[in-house]
Amino acid sequence: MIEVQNLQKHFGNVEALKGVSFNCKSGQVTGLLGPNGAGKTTTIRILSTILKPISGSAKVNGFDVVKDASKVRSSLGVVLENTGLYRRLTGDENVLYFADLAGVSRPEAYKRMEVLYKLLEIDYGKRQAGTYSKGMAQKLNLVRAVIHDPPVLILDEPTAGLDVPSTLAVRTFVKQQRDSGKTVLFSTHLMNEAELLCDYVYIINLGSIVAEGSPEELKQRTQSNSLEEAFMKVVKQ
Amino acid sequence: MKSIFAVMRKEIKEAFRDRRTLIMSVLLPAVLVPAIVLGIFYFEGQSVKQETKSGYTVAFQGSEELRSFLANANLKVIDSKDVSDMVLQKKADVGVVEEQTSSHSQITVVTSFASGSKGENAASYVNGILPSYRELRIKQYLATKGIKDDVFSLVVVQSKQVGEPNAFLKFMLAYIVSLVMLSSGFVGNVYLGTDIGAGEKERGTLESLLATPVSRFHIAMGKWLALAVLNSIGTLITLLSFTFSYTYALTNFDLGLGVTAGTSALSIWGSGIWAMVIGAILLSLTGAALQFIISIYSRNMREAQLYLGQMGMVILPFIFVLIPSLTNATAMPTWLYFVPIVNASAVTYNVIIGNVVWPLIGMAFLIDVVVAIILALVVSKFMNKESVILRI
Repeated sequence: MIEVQNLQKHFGNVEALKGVSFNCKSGQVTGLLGPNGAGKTTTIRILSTILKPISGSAKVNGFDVVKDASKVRSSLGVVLENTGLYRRLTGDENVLYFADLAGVSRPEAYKRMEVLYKLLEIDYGKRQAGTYSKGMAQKLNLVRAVIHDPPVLILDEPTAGLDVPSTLAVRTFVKQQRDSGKTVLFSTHLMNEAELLCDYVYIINLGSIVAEGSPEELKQRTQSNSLEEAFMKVVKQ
Repeated sequence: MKSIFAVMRKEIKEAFRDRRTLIMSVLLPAVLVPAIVLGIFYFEGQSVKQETKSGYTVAFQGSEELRSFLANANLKVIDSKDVSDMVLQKKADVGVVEEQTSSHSQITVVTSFASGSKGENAASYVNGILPSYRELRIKQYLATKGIKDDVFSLVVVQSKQVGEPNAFLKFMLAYIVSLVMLSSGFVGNVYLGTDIGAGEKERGTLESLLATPVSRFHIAMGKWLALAVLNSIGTLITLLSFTFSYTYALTNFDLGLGVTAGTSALSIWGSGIWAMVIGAILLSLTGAALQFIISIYSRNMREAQLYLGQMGMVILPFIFVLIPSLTNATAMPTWLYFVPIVNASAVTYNVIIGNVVWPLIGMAFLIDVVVAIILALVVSKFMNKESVILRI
């Protein structure tokens, strides 16, 4: 579960977040939608304990992101935008490195790796990551992020720049995580994808949450045919 | 602790798989350093051989007697009306002018301020043989006066060298090794340093790493230890390849120093090897921490390389600090053991010359470990600073 209350963040004179509040429930995919520069990545960086908020609070799995940063990180699986792999390590080694850092035993890590590889159709774990295509790398990033079986998953633009098969694989993976009862926060600027995947969405613009609801609710409220249309109406208001 | 070693193991594994790292840290020191050292000494040996074979040329103006004396001393004598000009024009290595007065003969040895080592060697050689000429002339004079020349036996001057033959070469070796260590251990292996911090930023792996449950301090310690181990290996390879090629060249290329194989002053087995191991580790601890700080602060690898390249300037003052010990052929002063970075060179120098003081070596080690841990703490603080992490 993720609970965010009145989160504020400045970068110099730039107000990146102006009191953002939202909740993500277990067993749901919650979408954080917004145009570029809306504050999605800053919010995710705060939830991942990479940045600290100026005011407000955020809890992940019941732990405060400032006071219990280490416990928050143990509860989290994060795939950040433009995340890279260690190119000179093989896919397996990349995953096992993160398993080691999360304190997962080797037998347990191998067991989970096998399941996740099957789910994401990964058969290139023995190859060095430097040889992967973007889609191959992103699928491995997902495995790396959840190798310690975290209850909360944060995905920042996980399908950006991917081809169709890789995008479909990522979507299947996200649905599987949701179905297994995990909390999934899914940030994207692709509205059709949000419509397909998200149970509930928050629209963020210029550092503030400007609308929330299920994709269907948002479409009805704005009298739109698609979430994309609804999004544009909300953002332009 | 487990997470520190996990980070360290991963960094070392990655480094050994990187072709650039292997070339810069292993191949270049193992091949290029010996090639340079052997090349320089070989050509120097050839130059000495050539000098000995061709002899020196003397521009001469003076008596026939002195002319014959010089010619008999294996010098090529060329008569000249303007000796100074011939020396300046480098038509002669040295000039000799003899002026006769009513009471005595005045001999002047002419050299140029612009003369190279051959000119200086020639002047030194001529100055060395002229006392014999003076003695010869005085004996001739005494004979004309009917005085026996045994007056020269009243005072006999001779020189004697004590101690180990070529002992100064040990100080020379210690000095050069300690300098090579400073340059290799402190500013060498720059690529590794740039990769470990700025490389993570550039590849976009830093944020994922910071989002893992491991503390920033453990990440910093793991990376620092990995860099220190890799730097130590690189420095040790450089030192060993340098030392073996240097000692081989000195004993096998005739440089006119009379150094032969088995010269004990050049033996580095035993304490010499230990000195290099201890020194390389000492230097790598602090060097790695400094490299890491600069690397993590930099926006990208290019910027890190620029800063780390400038770090070489820091060692320049230390080079001058070390010089008096060489010129006086003495041990490095005790206070140097307390100065991080330079203490690695001081320890190495002193152990190679046989001045092993274990409590001081232990003290230097302790100081460097403490300084390096403080620097690692600074790195972990840096990793908590948004301005540093997001400085991309």
